[in-house]
Amino acid sequence: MTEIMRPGGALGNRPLHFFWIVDCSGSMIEDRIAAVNHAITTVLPSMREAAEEEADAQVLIHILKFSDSAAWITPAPVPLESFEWTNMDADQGALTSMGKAFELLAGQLTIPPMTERALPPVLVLLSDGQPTDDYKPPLEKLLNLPWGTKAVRVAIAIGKGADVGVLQEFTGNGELVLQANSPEELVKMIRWTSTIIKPVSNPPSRGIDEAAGESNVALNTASIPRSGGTAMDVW
Amino acid sequence: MGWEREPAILCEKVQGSSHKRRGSPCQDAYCQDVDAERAILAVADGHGSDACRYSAVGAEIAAEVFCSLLADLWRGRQDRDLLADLGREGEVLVAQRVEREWKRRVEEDYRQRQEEDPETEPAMVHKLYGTTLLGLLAAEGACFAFQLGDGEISYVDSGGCREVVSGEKLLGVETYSLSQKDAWQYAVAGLRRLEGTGPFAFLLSTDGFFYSHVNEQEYQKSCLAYFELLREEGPEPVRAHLAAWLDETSELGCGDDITLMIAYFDGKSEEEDG
Repeated sequence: MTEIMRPGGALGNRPLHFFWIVDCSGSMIEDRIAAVNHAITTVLPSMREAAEEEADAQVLIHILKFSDSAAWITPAPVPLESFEWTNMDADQGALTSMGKAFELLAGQLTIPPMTERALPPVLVLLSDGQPTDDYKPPLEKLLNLPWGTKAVRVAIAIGKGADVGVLQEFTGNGELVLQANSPEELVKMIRWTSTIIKPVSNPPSRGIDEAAGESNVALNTASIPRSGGTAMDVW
Repeated sequence: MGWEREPAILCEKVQGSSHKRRGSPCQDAYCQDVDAERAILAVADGHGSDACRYSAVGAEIAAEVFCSLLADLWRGRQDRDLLADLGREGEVLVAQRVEREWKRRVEEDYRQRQEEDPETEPAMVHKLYGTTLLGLLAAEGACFAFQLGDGEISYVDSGGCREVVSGEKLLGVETYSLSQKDAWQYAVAGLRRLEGTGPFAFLLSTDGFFYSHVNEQEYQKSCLAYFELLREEGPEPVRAHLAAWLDETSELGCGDDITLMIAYFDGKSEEEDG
C-alpha cells in the first residue's frame, strides 16, 4: 500500500512554564545571592537532562527578581535548552517587595499570556526575609487565578530569618516550604525543585474530586531532602 | 427510514509515547454499535493516576454502558422521535442512567477483585475506575452527542470543523469524571440537525489528540484534513495508516494516549458507488 503522510495541523509539546522568583533584597547580598547563583548553575544540566528524558513538555524558564521593586530578568520565557543563568546581584540596603513580585507573577499567569493548553506552571520562590510591602492582596489575587490555583508552588526559605509563615501562605502546603541553612542545602533543595518538571511533564489525568484542595500534580514530597535545621544555619 | 449506506467507522487507540517510556498501559477504550438506521459510538479515557488503578476497566465499562443504553433507547422508541426526545431531556436522562449503570457495573467488577485488593473503602471504589466518556448517536437527519469530562466531539464537512458539544475544559490535568458523586450534573449533551446524507464526518477523540496540537485551530485543521483524505481516498487507506499516524501524533505532541474514532458518511448510495 502506498505510504500517505499524516494529515493535519501542527503538533507540539505542551508548554511547561517554570518560574524562579528570587529575593534580591539587601540581606541576600554576597553569600546568599552567590549561593543561589551557584546552586541554580549547578542544577541546570540535570534539569536539562530531566527535560530531555521527559520529552513531552516544552520547558520555558522565567526569572523574576524582587528587592525595592520587582522586575523580570527574562522579558519573555526562554526555552530550557537554550537558557543560560546570568548571575544575579542583591541590592545593597534594598527592601523585600514580595507583593510586587506576586503582582507581576499574577500578570504572567493570566490567560493570555498563559494558554489553556499549558501544563501546570511551577513557581519556585526563594527568600531569606519578610515582605516589606503589603503582599496579601497581590498574593490573594495570584492564588485566585485559575493558573495560580493549579500551579505547583514551592518556596525555599534561605536561613532562619525567612518568614516561613508567608512562604507557607504562598505554597499552601507546609511540606513545600523547604529550609536551606547552608549553601550545600540550597543546592539540594534547588535540585529537588528542578525534579518537579518530571511529574509535571507527564501527569496522568485526575478526576476533579481526586485532586480536591491540592495542586493538580501529585509530588513525591517524601523525596524532599532533609534540612539540618536552623541550629545549623551558617548564614 | 435509514441511510443509503452505513457510515464507515474507523477507530484506533494508541499507547502514548510517554506511557511507552514509563511502561504504563493505555487506559482508553471505545465501543461502537452500527446498523442501517443508526450509529452509536463511545470513547472513554481512564484517568491513569495511581489512585485510579482500574481506570482502563472503568473506561471499557463506560463505553459499553453508553452503547448499550442508547441501543436500548433506540429499540424502545416505538413511534417517538428519539433524537428529539434526547434533545429535550437527554443531558439529564442519559447522564443519570449512564452514571447509575456505570457505578453498578464498577461495584460488581470490584467485588470480584476484593479478595486480592481488600484495602479500599467502599466510598472510594468508584474512584479506582475513574474515566471520562464521549458518546454519539447519529441517525438520519440528526445526532445526539454526550460528553462527561475532557475530550472532543467534532463535526466536519466541506464547510469546516465545528464542536458538536462544548465540554468545559479544566486547566492542567483535571477533568470531570464518571466516578464523581452526582457525576451526571457535569455532563453536557446536545442535538445537532444533519443536512443531507453527506459527505460529513464525526470525530470523537480523547484529550491526547487535542493537546498534541499547538492550538485549537491546528486541531481543527487535522480534523478537516482527515475528512478531506476520507473523501478523496476512501476509508481503507486511512484505516490502514491511522494507528501509525496517531503514534506519530503522540510522539510529536503531548505524549498522552490517543483514541480517535471517526464516523464517515460519504453521502453516496450503493448504486452510485457501483
